[in-house]
Amino acid sequence: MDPSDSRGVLVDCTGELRLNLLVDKIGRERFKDIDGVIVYEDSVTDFLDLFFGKRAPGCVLRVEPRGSEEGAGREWAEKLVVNALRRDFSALIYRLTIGHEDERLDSSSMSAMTMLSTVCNEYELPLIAEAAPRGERVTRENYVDCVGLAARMAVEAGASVVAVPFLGDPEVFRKVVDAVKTPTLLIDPLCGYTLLKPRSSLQETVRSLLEVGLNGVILGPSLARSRNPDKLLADTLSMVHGGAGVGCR
Amino acid sequence: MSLAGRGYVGQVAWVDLSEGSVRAEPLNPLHASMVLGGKGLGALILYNSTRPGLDPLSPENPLIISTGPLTGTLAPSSCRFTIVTKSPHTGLFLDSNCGGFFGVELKKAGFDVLVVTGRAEALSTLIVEDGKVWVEETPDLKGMTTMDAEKALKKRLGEEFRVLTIGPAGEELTPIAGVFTDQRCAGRGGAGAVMGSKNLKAIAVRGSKPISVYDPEGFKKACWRARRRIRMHEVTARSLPTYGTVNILETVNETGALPTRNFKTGVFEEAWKLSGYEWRRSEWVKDKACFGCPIACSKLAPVDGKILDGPDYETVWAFGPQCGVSDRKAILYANWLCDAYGVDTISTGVIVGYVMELYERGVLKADDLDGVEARWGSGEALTRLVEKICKGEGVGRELRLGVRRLSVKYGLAEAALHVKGLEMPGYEPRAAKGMGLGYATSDRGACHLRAYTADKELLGYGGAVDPISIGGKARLVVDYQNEKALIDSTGICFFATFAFSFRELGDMLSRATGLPLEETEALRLIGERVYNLTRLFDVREGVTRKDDDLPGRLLNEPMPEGPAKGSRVELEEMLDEYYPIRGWSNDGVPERETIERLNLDKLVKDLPTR
Amino acid sequence: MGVGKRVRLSRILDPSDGRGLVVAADHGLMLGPIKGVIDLESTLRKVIEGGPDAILVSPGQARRLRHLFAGKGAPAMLVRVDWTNAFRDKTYTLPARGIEFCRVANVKDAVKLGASGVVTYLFVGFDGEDEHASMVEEFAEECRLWDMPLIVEPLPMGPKVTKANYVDMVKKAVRKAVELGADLLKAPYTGDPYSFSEVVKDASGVPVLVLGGYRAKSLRDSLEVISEILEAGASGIVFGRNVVQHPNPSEAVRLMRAIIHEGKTVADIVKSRLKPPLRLRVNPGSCTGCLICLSACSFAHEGVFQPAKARLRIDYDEEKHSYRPYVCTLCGSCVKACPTGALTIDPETGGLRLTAELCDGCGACVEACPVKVVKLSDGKPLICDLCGGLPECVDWCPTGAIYLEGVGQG
Repeated sequence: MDPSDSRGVLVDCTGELRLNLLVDKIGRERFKDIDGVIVYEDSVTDFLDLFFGKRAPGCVLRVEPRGSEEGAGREWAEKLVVNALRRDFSALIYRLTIGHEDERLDSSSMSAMTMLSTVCNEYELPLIAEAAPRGERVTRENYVDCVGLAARMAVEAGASVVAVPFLGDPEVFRKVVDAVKTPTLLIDPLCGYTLLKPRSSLQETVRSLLEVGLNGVILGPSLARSRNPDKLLADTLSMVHGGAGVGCR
Repeated sequence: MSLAGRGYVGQVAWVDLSEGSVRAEPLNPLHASMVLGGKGLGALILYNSTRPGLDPLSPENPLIISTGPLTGTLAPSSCRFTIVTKSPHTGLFLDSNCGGFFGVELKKAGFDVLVVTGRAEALSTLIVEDGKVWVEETPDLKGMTTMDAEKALKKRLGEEFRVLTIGPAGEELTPIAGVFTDQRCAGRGGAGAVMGSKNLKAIAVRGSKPISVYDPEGFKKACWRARRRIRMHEVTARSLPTYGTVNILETVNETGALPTRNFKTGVFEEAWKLSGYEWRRSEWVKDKACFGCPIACSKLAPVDGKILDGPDYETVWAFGPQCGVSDRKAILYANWLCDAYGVDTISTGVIVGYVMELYERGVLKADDLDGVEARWGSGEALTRLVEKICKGEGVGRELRLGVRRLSVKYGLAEAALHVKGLEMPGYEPRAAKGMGLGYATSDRGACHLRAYTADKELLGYGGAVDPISIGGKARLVVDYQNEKALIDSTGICFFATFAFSFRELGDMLSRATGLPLEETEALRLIGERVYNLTRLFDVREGVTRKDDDLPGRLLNEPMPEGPAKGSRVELEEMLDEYYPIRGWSNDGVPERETIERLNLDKLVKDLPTR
Repeated sequence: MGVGKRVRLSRILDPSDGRGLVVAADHGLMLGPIKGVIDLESTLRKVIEGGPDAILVSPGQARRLRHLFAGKGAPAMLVRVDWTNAFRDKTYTLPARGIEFCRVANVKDAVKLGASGVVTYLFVGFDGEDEHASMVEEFAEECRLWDMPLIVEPLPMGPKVTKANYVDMVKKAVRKAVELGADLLKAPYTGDPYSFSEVVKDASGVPVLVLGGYRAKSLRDSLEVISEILEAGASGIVFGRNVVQHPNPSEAVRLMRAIIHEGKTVADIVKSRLKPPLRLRVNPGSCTGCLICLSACSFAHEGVFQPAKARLRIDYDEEKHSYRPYVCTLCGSCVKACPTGALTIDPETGGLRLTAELCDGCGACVEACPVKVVKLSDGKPLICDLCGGLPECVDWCPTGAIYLEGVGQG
């Protein structure tokens, strides 16, 4: 899923929500309207037909963080990228986590991301970086600064798209978007590691952020817990795309 | 070869208040070449003019006011002078460094060093004016605050005079009394009591003589380059000028090293109210500089219709997190009281924190404290207790003796945060082990400035160092202690040196004095020599390894929260590494070999027998 | 050295004088969105107007902004290939607690981007030194294979660095970088041309560019540093914050170019900004009472530090707790009052001039001065002569409380 020329709605099926649950909730028809689905490598095989055809959603491979002992070598990155490409996936997504007490964890997250981005750029496969500072050093007071730092570092290192958690005031969000100058997605505000939660509905939040430069949203727990997930998804899609049509890779 | 006109002015004044005599001696160039000035020269004079076991409040204890070769020149922040004496609070070596304008004026008046011994018959003021020194009885100044006494003397003698005074606390021989000038102070260790014991209320100086240097053009260029370094470093160009020393508070809290509620923990939940940003926004109205300083870290704040110079980081900490207080107005008022009555804010804050712990643990009741409910976080309790300590009223008479003496009476020794009797400043050793080692091995008792490893351990300047591991800390502390001792002997302010290395300092010193000080090793050696000299003084008074200690809380109670959670200070391990690096015995005594290598046997008269 | 390296280096160091003006814009990778690099493209467009030889960017930005480097005469592209947290001191978000580093790109990526060089750090002074050196060694090998210039940034960093050994550590780091195969160095200034010339010597012929560090308080500070390092044998600069955080980046680059490539001196530039007639102005709100001006004045005229002989004064108003400098305003009252004509206004400098032989020490000038800055010393008045055109008090004042009319403060 490459929303860089328009916008996109992605659904994350690696968390609370799984592919089978998603299909149950919204049905196969609505499924086709999604721009991109984030999955683990092999979970698509059971639902392969959903991804047939030119209008099907793109697949985004989630890369799990590498422990610092295992090392994020070139081999590891290349294997992931090649596998994704062989399956005609549209992008990789990786969560950059900084803000740990043990700085070596920050460093290994950073080096894994830079290795992925290097290989992705070689193969022209977009990398989406989730700027997700977590860990003991991240507080309500420095949260926005930490997200800003992570997002900017990701872009400098070569990520094509960034995803940021909810940051509160839209103006604050605008500042972060301006500092990365790259398509930016909102991570589902109900996601476990986001420190700030919006006061208004998801719809309201997305609408106000689209105005300050948001390019799209990654849905997950909001869909999983919604009483009417089909409507939620449809509303989000129409708001984000506003009739401009679905962008695809 | 005299050093007069080479940075130094070349004269030392010896005043005996008992005899009423004054004599001027030429500055000893050999001594100057080996220990420079300031702390070093003061320490040498102190060592050679005292005997072990001397009562610090006796007339024989000299009060030494020592400037450095760079004081009063175009070197950046060249305002510093050091008060050196034997401390009535610790019974050990004391050097108390101070800025402002007094030291410069003393040099302009014709003296590098002023040594005062004896005791005047009535409360007196020592006056120095362009080479002339005399004593006047000034009983009318008795009981005056430091600010009022200064004002009165300026009115009487002339506005151009710079004045050093003690407050009522110093007159009353309080062991935590300091010496003040223009709201800057030589606060720690009780120098104010020494001055009080001599019946000396103030020293007033005026001078219009020139200060010259050996190589004027070269010196000016060296000063210009040093000045430029200051303009090109974040700390000296922006952090300190904008937020003063309080600029570090939030970071120290973030690293879990902000001692809170008498060092129970290292994280203060209301630290944000005391950040440099908040002080600048709400309280400070002006930036104020010391002589020759482009940084201007001092800030002025209105307090009750008066103007206060402060508070600085340590004062904010001592009256803030140390007592659990976040009320800025209370802190301002407490700061003002201490400045007016003439006591050390760090010691006062630590005492209040100790008292609050005694209260919270039920050892003391409100009745014991003249009705004060000394609860954590109570701004009212803070100001009432500080007022008592400053004025020596009610329970204050006892509290002002310091936490070591109080813990003898009230127990809870592990909660009496001091080393060698001097109360502990605002960095939590369990969260910054280098600072802990520095506290334990400092020559004047717990002091954060002898080895300011916090710059790398907590603030990340010049390459961050893991604050909690003890690896390499002994070496770091030794290096820092030597370098600080050197800096304190030059006459410039420590803060200026954040921006440059010994290269620039050596450049300025060698061109000012003509002494071979361009090599950074020569400077490092002087620093090491001075640090060993002050250690010898302490050893001569009986200090050994057992005194290089930390309070039980830091050694035995694991840090409850924050980045340093679970940490305790592994002091013994660090000391085992520290002493060999220093060239001291395992008992903390400088070895003969070290003393000779540093040529200290040629400088001091009687070495300790051990 | 291979053809590729030589050709690429020639795009960084101008072949006509062997010098290079490089602007660093890779801070986003190490420090995050700091001032000046938030809207990087807009800042770089301004920078490019000034005419830099090369610009250093991170791999991600190099990709996004490669159009800025396209075409003849466009600046050369340098790519940062490693990352570290070491510069995140307390000024920045999430200050570092130890020194971490990692690789961010391969030299091959830089080649594909059309870079003329790759830049990597080399720290000495901490426990991970050897590991860091190994990483640089790997880059050096890749650079050999691709004939891409390796630019190393040797820096003392960590607990083993002290005030006493700093310069020695710079030299040690420089020597190590040269041993590992650096083709160009980005080194820190040691503070004076003499010690820095020793550093250049230790580079054994590898050209040395000097880094800028934190933003200086004024552009003049950076220009002086440039002047001194060239004198010491360096080949140019890699300045970041001092350019991108300057309110006018293209002007900053232009002036730096003037010194590096056009042989101008700082004095030339300072003089060209003076707008005669010169007149001292004060901004009391900025005065901190440091009295540096008094020392500078007495030193310039008497060769000693003696505030009593300064030709200006600082007043302290206790009530308002504020300082106020009083300087010669060239009102001419003293000239009018002088009975012998000993005091005149110098037509060249615009300042006062004393013809000592004509002065009889009557002191009328002292009485006449409305701001009381004229005093008698040894029977002759001490008067402000604007130091012959470049007033020392203005130069030395740290806050711009004393400044020259028309030139502005600071």
